[in-house]
Amino acid sequence: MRIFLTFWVFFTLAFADSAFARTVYVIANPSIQVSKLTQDELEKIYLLRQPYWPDGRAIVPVNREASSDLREFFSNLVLKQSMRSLSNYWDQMHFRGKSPPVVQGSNESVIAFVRKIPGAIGYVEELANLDGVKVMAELP
Amino acid sequence: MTAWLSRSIIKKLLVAFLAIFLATYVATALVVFTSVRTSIADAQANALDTIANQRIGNIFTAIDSLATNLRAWAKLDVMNDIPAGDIDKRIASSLDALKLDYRLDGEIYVFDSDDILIASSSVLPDVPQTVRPPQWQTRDRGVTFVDKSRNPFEASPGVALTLPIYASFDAGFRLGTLVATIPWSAVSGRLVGEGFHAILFDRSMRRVTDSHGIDSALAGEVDELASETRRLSIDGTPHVAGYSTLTSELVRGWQVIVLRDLGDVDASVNQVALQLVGLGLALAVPIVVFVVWLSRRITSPVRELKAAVGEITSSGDLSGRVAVSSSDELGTLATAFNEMAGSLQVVSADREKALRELEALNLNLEKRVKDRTHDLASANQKLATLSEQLSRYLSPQIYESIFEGRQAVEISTKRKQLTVFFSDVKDFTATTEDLQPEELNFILNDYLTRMTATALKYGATIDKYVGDAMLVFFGDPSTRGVQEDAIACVKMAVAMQREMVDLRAKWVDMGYPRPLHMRIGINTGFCNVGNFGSDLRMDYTIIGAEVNLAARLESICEPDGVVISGHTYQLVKNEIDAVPQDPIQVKGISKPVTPYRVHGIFDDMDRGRDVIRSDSDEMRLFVDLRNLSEDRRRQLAAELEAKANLLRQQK
Repeated sequence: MRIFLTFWVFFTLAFADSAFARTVYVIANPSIQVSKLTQDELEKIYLLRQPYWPDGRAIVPVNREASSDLREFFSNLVLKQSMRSLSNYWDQMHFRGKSPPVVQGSNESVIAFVRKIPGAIGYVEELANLDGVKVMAELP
Repeated sequence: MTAWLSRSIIKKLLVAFLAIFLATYVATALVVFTSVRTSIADAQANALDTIANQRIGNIFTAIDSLATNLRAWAKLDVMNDIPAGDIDKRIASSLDALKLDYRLDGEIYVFDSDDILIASSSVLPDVPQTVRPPQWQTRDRGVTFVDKSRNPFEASPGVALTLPIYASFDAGFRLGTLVATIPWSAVSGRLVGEGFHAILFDRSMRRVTDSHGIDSALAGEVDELASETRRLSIDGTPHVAGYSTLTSELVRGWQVIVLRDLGDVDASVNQVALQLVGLGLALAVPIVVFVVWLSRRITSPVRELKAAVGEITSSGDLSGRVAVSSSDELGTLATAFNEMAGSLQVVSADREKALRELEALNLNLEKRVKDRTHDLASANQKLATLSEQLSRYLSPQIYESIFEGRQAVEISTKRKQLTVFFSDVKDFTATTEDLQPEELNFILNDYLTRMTATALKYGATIDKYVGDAMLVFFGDPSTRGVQEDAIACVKMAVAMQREMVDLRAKWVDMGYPRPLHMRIGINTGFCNVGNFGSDLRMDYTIIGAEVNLAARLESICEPDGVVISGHTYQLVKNEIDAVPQDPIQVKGISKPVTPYRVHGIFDDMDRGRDVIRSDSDEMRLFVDLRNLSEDRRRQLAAELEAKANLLRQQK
């Protein structure tokens, strides 16, 4: 019983530590006119409820792969939904003819994608090289 | 051959049946063979067409399925990694997996929107900024087929399919290009098959893209291939060709042509021909056996008949009979033959009997014929003698013309101009009265024989002898012409008088001191000549006034002379020397008649130097040298000289 409690405390502390330690940078293609985004605006963008930038161009959100803990962290933080409920949501959206955001497998590829695609927006963790993109928000 | 055939009915039947069988079988076999060959050729062509369609279908299916796959692969999420340059190598690993899963022969390449190579399924040398080869063109949004060309990333050439990749987040955003290749060996491998050669022909380019298994370049046959010729020669070997008809939306102009060596096709046709020949032979054997059996069966009664006839012919025994074994035509023939032999037997016996009788009759007849012939010969002999004796009572001309059938013995006369001769012996009765009858007989016969001979010599017709008188004429039954007849007659008369000189000398020698002297009268004119009298007794003679005149002239003639009428003189004056006498009155003729006394024949006198004669139309000279004194001769010569001078002086 004691051993069990010890493990539980350890795990809880470990997770709590990481959750509170990481910073997520929301980045976008530099051609985008908007310079700041709130969490609500991000939520609308990532749930495809806001498809266009104010200048009329399409918004191309980029997600990490489903297995990524950064994606889970971002989903919990911004979309305030668990992965399972999001999965249901995207199934419903799929039937309406909408595909979930583009997936990239690493921070580098997200940055490269956002740098290349006009209207693209993504999120990365504490990165050194953010050349060619602009940071729209730092979360949390 | 014909001689061989004519010897036996079996052979004839055998040849006839075999000929019928051969003709029928060959005709049937030819029809069958032709249709089989045609259908084999059609089937071959259809089979080759089917094979060609299968082959091109395989190729089209492979390419089409790759195109379908390509469209699906272009929609994969990982393609969104193209803008990021596949940093995570997710595209590359996906392509590897696809190649493995789909067991692709070729490779898959992904280029970004700047045509820089992003990822591929093949392990490529690490060359940065590798650019998409120009032949891998894309078009629109669909799959583009790139025909056989060199692939810069691979050693061997091949075909390729290209497809532009559009972003899933923005259908108008082109991420890059997806290219899938098929190595040519994979295309070519689908052409391979047993028993034929398949070639890939590009109709639009008019070239052979792949000639699998054929060494020839086939450049010379392009026109024939393009016009889908069924039979063509490749490297001197005849081939039959099948053409694919399938088309593909993606691959334009490709056609598979399947070629098969005609020798292989012909092998099956030859097989059929061989089978037909074999069947023909197999059928021929039982037919020959059957025909021989049938012929023997048909001809055995005929042979029996022949043997029976041969037996009868060689032995002559008509009692032989043929066994009647059937009631068909041959049986009927055998029965008829037996009946014939029976009746022949009867007839033969009758004939033998008749022959014997005939032989006896013949012998009799021969004897009778012999007797008759003998009788006939003796009668003939008698008749000949009789006729020869009879002929002496007739003039030879009359005799001949009657016996040769030229003159019918009937009462008929004709009027003809004749020269009539009449002679008599002067004072015959007084002269011969002191002769014994035998002596008279001799002298008369001697006289008449010589005169008759002379008359016949000159061609006269002797009419009759009346005692010492003779009536002779010229001009019937044959004539040499009136003038010639007259001349012959006068010459005969002169000759007779000369004969008389000889006869008289002879008679004087024999002791008859008072010789005979003959008088002759001759006249020429129209007389009736022919048979006079009745049917029972007739005489060939002449009658008329001219005959009477001849007799009258004879009566006034001097002994040993010849007197001719004026008419006769006119006909003979050129040949005969005659002088006119005092005219006389003749009973039945109103005018006095001038008779001419004949002196002689000029030719005879000239030859004998008795006269000097010159006879022409202008001058007539006649000098009688006989009894001419020398003085008188000179006197006449002087006279002629004077006349000649007178003639010379005339102009």
